[in-house]
Amino acid sequence: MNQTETAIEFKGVSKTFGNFYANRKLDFSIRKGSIHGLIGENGAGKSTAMKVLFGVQPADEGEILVNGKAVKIRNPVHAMKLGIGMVHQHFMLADSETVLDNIMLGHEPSTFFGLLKRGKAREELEKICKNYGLKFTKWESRIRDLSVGEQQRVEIIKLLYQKSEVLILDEPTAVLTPQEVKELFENLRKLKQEGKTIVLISHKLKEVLEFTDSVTVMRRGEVVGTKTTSETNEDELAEMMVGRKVSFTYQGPRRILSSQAVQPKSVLKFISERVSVELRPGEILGVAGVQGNGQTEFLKALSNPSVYGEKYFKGKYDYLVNGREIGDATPLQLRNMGVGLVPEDRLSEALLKQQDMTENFLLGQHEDPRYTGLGLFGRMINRNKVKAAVEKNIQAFDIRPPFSTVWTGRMSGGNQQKLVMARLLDPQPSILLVAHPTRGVDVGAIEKIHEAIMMERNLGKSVILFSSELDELIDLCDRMVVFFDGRVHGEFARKEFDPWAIGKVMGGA
Amino acid sequence: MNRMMKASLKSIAGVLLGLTLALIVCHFAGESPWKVLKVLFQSSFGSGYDFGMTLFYAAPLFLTGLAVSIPIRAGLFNVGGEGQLLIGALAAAYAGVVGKNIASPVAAVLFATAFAFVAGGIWGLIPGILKAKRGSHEVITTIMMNFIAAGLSSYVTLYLIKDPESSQAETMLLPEAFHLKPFEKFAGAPMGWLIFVLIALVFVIHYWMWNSVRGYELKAVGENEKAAETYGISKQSAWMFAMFMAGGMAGLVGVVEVLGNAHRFKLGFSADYGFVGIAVALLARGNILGIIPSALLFGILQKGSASLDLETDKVTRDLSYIIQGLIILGVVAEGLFEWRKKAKNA
Amino acid sequence: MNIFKYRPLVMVSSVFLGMLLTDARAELKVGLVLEKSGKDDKSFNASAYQGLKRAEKELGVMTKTVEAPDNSAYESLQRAFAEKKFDLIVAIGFHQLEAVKKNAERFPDQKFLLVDEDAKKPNVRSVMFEEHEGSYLVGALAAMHAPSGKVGFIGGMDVPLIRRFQMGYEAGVKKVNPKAQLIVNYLGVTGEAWNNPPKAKEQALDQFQRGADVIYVAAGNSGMGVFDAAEAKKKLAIGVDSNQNWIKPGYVLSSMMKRVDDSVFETVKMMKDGKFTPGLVRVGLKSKGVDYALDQHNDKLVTADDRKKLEAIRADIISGKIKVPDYYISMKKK
Repeated sequence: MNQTETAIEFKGVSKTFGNFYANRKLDFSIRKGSIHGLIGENGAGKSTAMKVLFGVQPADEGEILVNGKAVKIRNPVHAMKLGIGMVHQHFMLADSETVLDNIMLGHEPSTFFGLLKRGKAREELEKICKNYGLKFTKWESRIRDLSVGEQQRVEIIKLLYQKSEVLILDEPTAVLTPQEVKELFENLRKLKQEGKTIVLISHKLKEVLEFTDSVTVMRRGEVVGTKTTSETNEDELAEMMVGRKVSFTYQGPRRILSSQAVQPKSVLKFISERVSVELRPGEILGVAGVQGNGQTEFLKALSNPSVYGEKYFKGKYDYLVNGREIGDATPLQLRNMGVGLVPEDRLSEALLKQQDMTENFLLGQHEDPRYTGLGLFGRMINRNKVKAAVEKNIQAFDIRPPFSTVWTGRMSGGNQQKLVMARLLDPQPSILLVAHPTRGVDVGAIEKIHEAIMMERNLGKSVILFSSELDELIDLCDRMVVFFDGRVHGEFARKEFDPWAIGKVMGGA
Repeated sequence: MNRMMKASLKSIAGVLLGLTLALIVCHFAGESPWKVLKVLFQSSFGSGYDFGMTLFYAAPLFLTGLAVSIPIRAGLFNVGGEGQLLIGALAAAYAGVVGKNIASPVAAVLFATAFAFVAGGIWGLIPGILKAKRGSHEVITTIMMNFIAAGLSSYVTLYLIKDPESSQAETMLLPEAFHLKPFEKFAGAPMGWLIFVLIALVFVIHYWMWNSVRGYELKAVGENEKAAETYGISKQSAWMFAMFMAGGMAGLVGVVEVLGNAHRFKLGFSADYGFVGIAVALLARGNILGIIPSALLFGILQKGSASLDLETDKVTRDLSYIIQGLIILGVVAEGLFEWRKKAKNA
Repeated sequence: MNIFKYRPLVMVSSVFLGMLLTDARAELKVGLVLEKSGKDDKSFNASAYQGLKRAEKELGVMTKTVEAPDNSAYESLQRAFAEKKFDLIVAIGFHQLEAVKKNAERFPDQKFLLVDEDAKKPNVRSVMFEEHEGSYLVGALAAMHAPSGKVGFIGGMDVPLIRRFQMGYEAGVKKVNPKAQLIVNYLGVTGEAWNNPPKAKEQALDQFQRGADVIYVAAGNSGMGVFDAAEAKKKLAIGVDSNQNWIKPGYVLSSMMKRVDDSVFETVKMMKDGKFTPGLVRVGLKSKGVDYALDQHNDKLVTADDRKKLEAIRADIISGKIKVPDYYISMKKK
């Protein structure tokens, strides 16, 4: 095989939305039979570039070469005909149908009378798996009964069945355990050996460094450069991505906990049949686990027991904050007891997107006597005081754009999250429930957010940190519980933190 | 505020677009657009009487506009203004029966006003409760409540407090104390100080929506139910409150009609105020203060539709309905354009 | 809403307006204010409109017709006519009572004709129809054509006026067949009831299903649905207000006509002759203000024998031998 042959080449491809360049003069090529990483922060233009390649959106200028030939890709069906296939971040599978039917969808071999030839399709699929060394046998299972890793494999097999030569994977590891990640990349390597080209879109530098042959870095819609993976390192890629030097691990001070001397009383206790967790003063307790293993329900019960305590734990639970039973407290009561929250999903749970920063800052604080008081028409908001507080926080957290009248929906993920953090810390809570604080946040803001969390800990506050990024938990936490199948399946002290061991527990071992 | 200015400019553009289309239609129907405009203007501002009538048509729309705009804040679409105003008007008429011994006009008017507000409010609250407790869609339930209100008001009018002297479907005449005095200047148009009270009411509601904690809660629920819940705002209570207020506002139409105009409840008095209120709120784009010009515009059009029929050869009543329709369409079409732009950029 | 449809009114009124601008000849000007349902209701308002058109043609007066968009518009429309110095303002329908009263006071020299209510003002001629007498007559006719002994009544909105129709009709039916059974339906309690032919058709089909042979409908525009149902079931219907026999010839037994057209025409004629008299005029069978319709469309349905019987009843009512019950009076007694 000719190693220099290119599968895909972008030549001066631009895509604009109004005045905004989502992609500006992209120039890079992907070698046939390689694993090629495409990295960049959120909004750097990776997804747009791939949408152009997959025919979802037409390019405004420039051309794309497939196997050396310039083609105008009209739509996804056309892209598939050209041998380009894509595994989306959210799988495009019909939950209640079988694996076989899902794979055949759109490519059904059928008889003259339109009857499906399932047997023939299955034979062909088994042959594909054998050829590429993929292990899969659950052809007749329904999609909803498969694990996330298995669903992803179905997506990949589907592409192979459609005879795709170039496989684009959009953030494929976001939902996988470390074990599943390893398995995925083993499979991808086998595909590569059989001559397939793989494009890996990711924001995780580690896996890009570990598994790719070459990597293209994007920033603000432009290609910063393409590197051979073996000739670069994490710091260099990060600097290319962000435009300045960044550190990925928390470098600041870490106060030593005095827990060894006396067994400290816990500040928060949640005891139920399946989940029992205690939070000690001054610690960051991590909650790890693959998405959908009960962490969401646990956080809901913690942050709004009045609604979700009953719903998820059927009344058989004890919830104590500072020794007080609060099994049916409302979010506002919790707040008054010094419990603060950063919800799981910023956009759907934490923000009013079509309101400005002031209105968002008030959310949850709308009965705080610092900002409201009795007036002529009931309880009224003191707008001047809120505005002053918001402006102070804009300064303190370096929120951009620095205007309190900006709609939060128009701010970047990082700045939105800084506002959410500012709102969390404003009433000076002693217990912080923080979920996915850096999801969809750019690298620069991650640093700031991590610093803020550690600072609270060092001030003696206690934190429960929910995250799907194991690295983040390992970096920040003092202790970690791992969720699996709706229960606490394992617990690790900081000195026992080992991604491999934790990953095993996440997978149910 | 910049954003507000932009929104009102868009509304004005929509109205102008609709008006232009309407005038083009008039032109093709054989009527001079210039004359149509002149008739519209004169019929609404030509004399004290005309202006008073325009205000008389606009006054209920202030209230029904609020009845739509308040729940929209909380994410609810109240189509039940018509039923709520019927019940409110009926209650105002009933207040006259119950309180026939009240001699002080101030007390009588306040008494009837409270009746109208609470009765309309309860009529709005019922769909609010159904939404909060059972999840029933408010559009369906408010429409159903409209039918029930129509039936109930006929029954009460014809069988409970009917005027025995009249062969028409109307209730007994209210005692003198309940009558609101119109301005002399309006030369017979049934509108007086009430119009200033209503305008003040719109301002108060605007201020209250913007600055009260309750108003904030409605907004938060309307904008993002999940976030509101996460941060301890009960959507159930917000919905019920919003619908009660909406019903109460629509119910106050009873004050305009029963105390201000007919001094009794007459079946069929409403010129579809409840439904036109939806258009009024739409044109105001959810901005409470926007209801004032928007309601005035629809008042002018309602007054003008009869005058156009009278004053021109070719523009009949039906054609003036088309003009109204086109203006609403102009506003909505502009919104549609906006939406398409958004969809394209997403 | 076929606004581009050719309408004689448009032409006539433009001619009128044109002349108004160029010619100051002192001609009689008559303004007609119709109810919401308008001149196309094929019924009450249509009848008034036809009367005015006849006056225009035969008496050479100038006319202008407007349709009210809502129940609060009557006053301003009448007022606009008065301010334009029209000689006579014709207000159709009981809804206009209050407005006529106010305007009659405001413009004491202005002449009004009010139909269906009594304004009790010195410058208003009020015409009220004895609908119960006409209904009695068609009730008798219905009973003659109901071998099963079952007849139907469909009313529009449930208001006293329509109850008056019903009561007279029922008495007429019972006069001919004391054992007859009457099936009654009302279309609704809102203004929509006057304009809901589909619902009227449903109710009529139901009544026919239950054995009614003839249905008398007093429901404005909704009546069309009843005529459709009669045709579909090959049964009979009786129309109201105008002569509606032509709508479904062979299935409309007759129509209880309120001669609004005659009243309008005659009042205009009085004006023209300078003999306008104010005050209440009750028109019933005697003055032919109400009547059953007989024309080429129902010639074959109403037999000579029927006619003889009906004329006998008419004579008895006029002479006072038969007392037709009046809902208005019975209502006031309650």
